[in-house]
Amino acid sequence: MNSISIKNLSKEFDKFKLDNITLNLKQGTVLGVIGENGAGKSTLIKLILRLLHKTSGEILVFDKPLEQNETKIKEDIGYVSELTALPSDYKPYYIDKVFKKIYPKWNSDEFFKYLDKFKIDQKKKFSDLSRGMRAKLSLATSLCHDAKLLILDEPTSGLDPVVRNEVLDILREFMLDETHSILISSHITSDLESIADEIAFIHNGKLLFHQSMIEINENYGFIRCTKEDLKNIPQNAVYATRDDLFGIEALINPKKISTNMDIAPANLDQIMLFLTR
Amino acid sequence: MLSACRSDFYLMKSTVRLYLIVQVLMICFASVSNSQYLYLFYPTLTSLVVSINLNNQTTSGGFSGILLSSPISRKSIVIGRYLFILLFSVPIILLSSLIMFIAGDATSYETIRLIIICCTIIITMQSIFTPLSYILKPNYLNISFIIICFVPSVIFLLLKPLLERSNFNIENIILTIENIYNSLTTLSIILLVSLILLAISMTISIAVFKKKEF
Repeated sequence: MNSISIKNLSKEFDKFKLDNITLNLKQGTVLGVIGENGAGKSTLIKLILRLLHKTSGEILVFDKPLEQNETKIKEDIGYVSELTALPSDYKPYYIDKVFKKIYPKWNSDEFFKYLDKFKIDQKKKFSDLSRGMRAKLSLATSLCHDAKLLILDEPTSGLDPVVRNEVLDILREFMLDETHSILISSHITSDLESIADEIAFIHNGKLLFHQSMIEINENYGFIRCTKEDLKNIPQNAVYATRDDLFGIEALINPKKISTNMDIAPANLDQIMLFLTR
Repeated sequence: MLSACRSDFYLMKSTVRLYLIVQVLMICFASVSNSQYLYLFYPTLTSLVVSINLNNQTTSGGFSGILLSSPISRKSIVIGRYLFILLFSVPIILLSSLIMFIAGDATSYETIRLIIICCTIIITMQSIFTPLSYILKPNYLNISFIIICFVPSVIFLLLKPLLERSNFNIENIILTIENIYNSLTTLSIILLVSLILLAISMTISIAVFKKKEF
């Protein structure tokens, strides 16, 4: 079963187009969406949540068309937005008062348990909460209604490493249930490397690739060499190169190279850097 | 629908609390100065201000996105907004009118007449402003609020000398307004018309909000 199936999804704006995206998020997996700022990650997420209206294509969530089953489907979705923005005098316990009437499976005890765990004062004004606290509050909200799918738009952006690690631990705990899935967008690729099973790379509104972490590790390698060394590598094995002071850096496909070169595994940052040049 | 109304209430909780405190002071002041106008002017005005504030809070704060990601339909959110404004303003009008009547500052006939007039104003203004709040950006909405509330009176003041110089009988207009003001039947019909306007406004708001992107 797929938690999300997207087929030929397009969305046109005046100066930007999310173009013909096709990808699936299988149940029990974490799909990380990477791309530079403005690549279309948030647009994709907003289309899945119908905060934006698609120009064309099809979106199925839990194998059901989104348009016809929107409210039913959203009962099982937890959403954490990039900007957790609430009015300055909004207090965390208001969230419980409001959402317990909206989500049929809302669990108030669990919500307050999370607030305690995250050390969030439920009567503190939203403006007095730190950025990390706001992110955790948003996460607590998304976890308290028995969601099967979490959609997270840059949840760790602007957080310090300690809080980021705590957030990732909560997500790992969420994934202990095999029926759960996560779609997470981030440009902090190290976070995704530690949690994602699959990566979708969006660049200028187009899907460059959608591969599992295993495939990425097999298909992408990084070498530093001289121009002469590079000539010995088959051209179809080189994705992209970059000149630096000491020679050439290249993103290559290790499977297509037979020579004994010192190939390091490429991380997502390097892949992003080389493929978006 | 009630959930959306509840959500709007919590968004505006501290603002509502502040308005209520000011209204209590206004009632005390109105009672001392025996002014029917002071009893009811403030709650009528605040219903509009609350509506505009609420729109600013939801759009600028990004709360709409959070609400729309939950299992609540866009239609319910819009109806909840109308419901919140009416549930906020009409009880205050009723309560202020009751205090005005008990304090002996108005007869029962005057009280009923004023309740109908204030409710008509609130419903009509709500019918105009809510669809505009979904169509216009917050800044433009604030400008439209000023235009709709103040420009007619400015135009009237500018036209008054012209009308007086011509043969136009301004007394007749004032007499007609007085007749309407004194007739409960006519006022009730106008209230009914404003309710029809509210239904039309709600339909327009739902259609606009369904197409809106966040």
